[in-house]
Amino acid sequence: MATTTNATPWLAAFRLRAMIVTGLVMFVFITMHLANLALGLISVQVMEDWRWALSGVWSSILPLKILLQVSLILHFLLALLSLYWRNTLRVPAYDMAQMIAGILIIPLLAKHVFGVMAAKEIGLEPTYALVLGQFWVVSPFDGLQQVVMLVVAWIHGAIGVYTWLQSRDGSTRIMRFFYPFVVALPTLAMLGYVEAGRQIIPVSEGGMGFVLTTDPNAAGPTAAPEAIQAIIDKANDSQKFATRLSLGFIALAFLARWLRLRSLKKGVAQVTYRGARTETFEAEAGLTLLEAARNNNLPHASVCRGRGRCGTCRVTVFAGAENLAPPTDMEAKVLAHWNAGPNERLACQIKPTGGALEVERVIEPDYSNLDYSEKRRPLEQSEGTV
Amino acid sequence: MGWLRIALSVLVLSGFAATAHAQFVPSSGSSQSAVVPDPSPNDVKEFLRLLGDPTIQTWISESANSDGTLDAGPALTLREQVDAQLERIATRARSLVLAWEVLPQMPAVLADVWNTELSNGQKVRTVTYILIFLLIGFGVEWLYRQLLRYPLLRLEQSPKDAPSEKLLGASIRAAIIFAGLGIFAIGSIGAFDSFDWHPLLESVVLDLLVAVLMFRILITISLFFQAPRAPELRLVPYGTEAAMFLHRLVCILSFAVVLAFAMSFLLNRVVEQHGMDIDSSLATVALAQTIVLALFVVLVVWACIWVAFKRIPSMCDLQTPPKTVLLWRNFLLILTGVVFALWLAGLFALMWAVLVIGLTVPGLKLLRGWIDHFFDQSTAALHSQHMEEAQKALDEFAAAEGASETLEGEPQPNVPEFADPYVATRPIVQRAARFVFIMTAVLTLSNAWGVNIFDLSSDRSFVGRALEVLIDSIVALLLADLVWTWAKTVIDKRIADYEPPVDGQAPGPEARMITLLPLLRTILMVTLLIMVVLSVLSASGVNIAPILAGAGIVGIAIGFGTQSLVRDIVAGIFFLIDDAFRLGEYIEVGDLMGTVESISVRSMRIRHHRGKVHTVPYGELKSLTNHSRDWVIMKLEFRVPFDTDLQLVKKLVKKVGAELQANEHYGQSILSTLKSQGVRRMEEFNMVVGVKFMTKPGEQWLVRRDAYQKVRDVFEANGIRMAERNVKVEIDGGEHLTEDQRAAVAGAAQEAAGAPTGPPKPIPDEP
Repeated sequence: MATTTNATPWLAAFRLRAMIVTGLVMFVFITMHLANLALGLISVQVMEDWRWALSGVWSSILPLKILLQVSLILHFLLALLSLYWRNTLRVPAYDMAQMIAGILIIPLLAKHVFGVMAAKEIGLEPTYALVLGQFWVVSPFDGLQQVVMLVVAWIHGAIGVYTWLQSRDGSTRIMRFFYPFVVALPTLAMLGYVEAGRQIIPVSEGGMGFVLTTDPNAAGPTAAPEAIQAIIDKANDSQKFATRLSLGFIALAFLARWLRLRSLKKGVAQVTYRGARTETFEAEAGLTLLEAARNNNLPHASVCRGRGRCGTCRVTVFAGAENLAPPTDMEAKVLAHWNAGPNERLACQIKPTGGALEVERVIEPDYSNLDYSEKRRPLEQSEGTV
Repeated sequence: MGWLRIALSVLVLSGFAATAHAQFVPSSGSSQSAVVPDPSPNDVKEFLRLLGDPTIQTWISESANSDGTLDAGPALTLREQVDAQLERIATRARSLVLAWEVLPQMPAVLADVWNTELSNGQKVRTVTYILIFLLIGFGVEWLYRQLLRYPLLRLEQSPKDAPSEKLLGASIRAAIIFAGLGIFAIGSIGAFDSFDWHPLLESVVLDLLVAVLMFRILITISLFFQAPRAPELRLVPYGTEAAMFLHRLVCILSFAVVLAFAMSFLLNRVVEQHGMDIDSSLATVALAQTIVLALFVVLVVWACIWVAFKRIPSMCDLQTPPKTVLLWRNFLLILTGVVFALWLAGLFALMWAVLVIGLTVPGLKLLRGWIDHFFDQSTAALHSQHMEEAQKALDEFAAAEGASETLEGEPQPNVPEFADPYVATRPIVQRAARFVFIMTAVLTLSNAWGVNIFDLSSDRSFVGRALEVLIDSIVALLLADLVWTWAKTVIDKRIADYEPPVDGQAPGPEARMITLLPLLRTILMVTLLIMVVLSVLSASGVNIAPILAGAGIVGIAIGFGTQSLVRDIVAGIFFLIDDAFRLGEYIEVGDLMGTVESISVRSMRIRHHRGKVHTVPYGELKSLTNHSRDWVIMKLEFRVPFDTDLQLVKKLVKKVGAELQANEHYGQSILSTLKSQGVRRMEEFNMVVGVKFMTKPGEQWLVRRDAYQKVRDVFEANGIRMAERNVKVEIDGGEHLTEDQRAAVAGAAQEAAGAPTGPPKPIPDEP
């Protein structure tokens, strides 16, 4: 992930925090939404009964609605920023999945959001019977799109929360609950979606199936028939606009990133890793040590995958420390947290610019010597080590 | 360099397997001009019901011959067979032409069938279901992988030198991944199966889920060997770059193959569902699309071979000349082409033959190279370990020398020589692997030809007979070769390891086997040769009973004639096994004594210490005394006068014993030094003091010499006289005798005591 050594420190700290907070808000939203879908395993009626509590609150209570919208926009903009700061696109699989999923979310989401909004405008309550009928019978392609969206959004969010949780203290206990949750919820939601579809589909094919006991839409749309088409067109236009806007911004971020990388001066640093098998490779300037190591297929422990949060990518610098920029506040904080030695640095934060650098991984790549008890020793011991 | 070829042929093999398997789809369609669907569950039930029907059972038993076989119809002559084959090719050609004409309309026809069979909603729903169930499978597998994440990481990252460790690690990893795949399969296919579906939808979705599973299995196999991300677990001898590249190729190839199969199954299912009354145009369409898919696979295989041979030499700096690489590339390209052409022509048996034989040659080479690499690595790992130890020993020695603590007895550091423990195993593994490989090829071939080699004896046709003889001979040869290689390497290694004893030292227990091993080797070779020849003869229908009988008679005749010779040889073998004597030992046989100088098959040669050489056939040996084993006790006696101080004698002997023990030449050989045994007996005029000592065999003479000398000296120095034979004459009033009288008396007394007469008895010999 991007390093922010050359950005203002408060911005970097704010960015990280805001990213997490906005992401968590949306994760809670998706969780509730999926929980609602999962109820389809029982019946569409139960889904409908719980609709307001699990999904409706986000659109009918104004503060929540604003919170969700602000979170979405802020998260998107911050993501653009971190895209801009990315040094290389050869990233670990989780990061790549998260990035691609993130890019796909808005184009996939737009149709559902604007569709539901249009339905309300027309005067139809977006009941599950209505929406599921739309997705399974009227335009199954949209249904497929929604399944993809669900998966994509969940993967994006789950990776984010997973990374955040893992680099926190005492994560092992939380992870015990997180792991089953993160698989069970979308699985149940999708099965609920399938089961609800199996109840809905026969109705449209003239067979026996599920019908709501009290359908608020029984009376049909309240809007004038001639206005309906206009509303639908407007929704389509907004959806297309939102898609293009988001993709345009992403393209701009990539362009800006490309320009930034082009202006960097080229250089090569000789990096030597000590260990059971000593390895030497050449690191391109502009990449962090962690990224350079990954490019050269050198395994490296890194729980947060280069976000500078977890401190597991620490290296002991034996030679070439003078070519490295001093630690930023954020890095110093993490190092102090781990009670790190004076010549230890975070591989995801240092950028070898030239000359020779000789380092050794503090944590083995297989995490065999990762000991969380080293973290947060009494302050009087760790003071002065950084 | 063979390494590259292994990987390539794995690629090619999977490609071929695809092409080859694809034959089954059109073969049913073209030769019968109809697509035969798999039996539905109802059909199977009906069939089972029919089987249970008594009338059907009677009909089957009536139509069977008395020996239980069904009438096979009249045997075809060669000419009829050729005609039938030509007819088949012609039919195939016609359907190919038809398929070629249909090809442009194929997409339209398929789309038409696809549209009429599945509604728009159903199609998208199918995809939705596939996606959902795949994701469920992936989700469950992800959970499993998270559970095993750290053990797996540890397995992949911990340094491994010996290939056995690598193999173990890679196997454990493959097991973990395969278990994950199983969980994926249960999660996706299991979850899917727990619902009820429309039959066509079910078969289509299931096919595609299985295709994904197959693809992942192929990739896991590639991961097992190449481990692009875990160099410590890589079983193939090339670097990360090449491994990643080849892994990618395998992925592409597997994807193409699995896709082709999935498409072929999917389209055939749709076509089959479409018309229960299958018209020939649909069958042609099915053939056409199978051809297109096969062509697609062949193109991908070609591309992969081309790219691999282009990129790999630079990636793993091959030592092979570029010409050879080109040769192999062209060979594989042409092989692929020929196989495809044969498949097109419908000559499936020939296609399999070309394919299997074509792949056996490079396959065997690769296998050999791979096993060699494996053992090279093992030896290298052991060697480096050994070098480390040797270096440590040298360092310690240098340190000790620096501190001038070196013992005098150890002028050289004690560095053991490096011995490769795999010398004997390597050729055996090579042969065994080759055996398995060739047998697999033969079985595949016979399977493809529709010949069951286990039923061959009932097949009386010429081809069947020839095949049977061939297979039997190959099996016999390979097995004999396996046994021979094993025995030869073991025997040769033992002979090579044998170090003849340094002069003056007794040879070790290996010495006796050295004489026997070459004999054993020859016997084994002759036996194996005879057995192979006999089994080949017997397989080809020659009656070997007379040969065996003749050999038996000749054997008996020779046996009688050479009875004593045989007795000598057999007795010799048992003497050697009993370890009764070794080269260089001093033995006693009957009244012959001497050092064993040579041991031959029939007799041994003993050299007497005065140079006479005795040749003794083993058959003559009844018992044998060996003087050179473990230890020898020697007893000495001294005669001392009655007034000797025995305590002093004991002390003095003890002192001499200590001196002997301290001697630098033979002190080491004394196992129990000289000690006094006290008075052994009383004699007329003196006491006999016994002493004894124990040494290693052969050293006792020297020790005895010194012991006598030292004891005599020390007795003399301490005033102990050795008793001498003397006569005391007492004469009453003898004090009055004159000198002359005294002399006369002494003379008489001497005569009375009896001086020894005649020459002394010779002392028994000793070497």
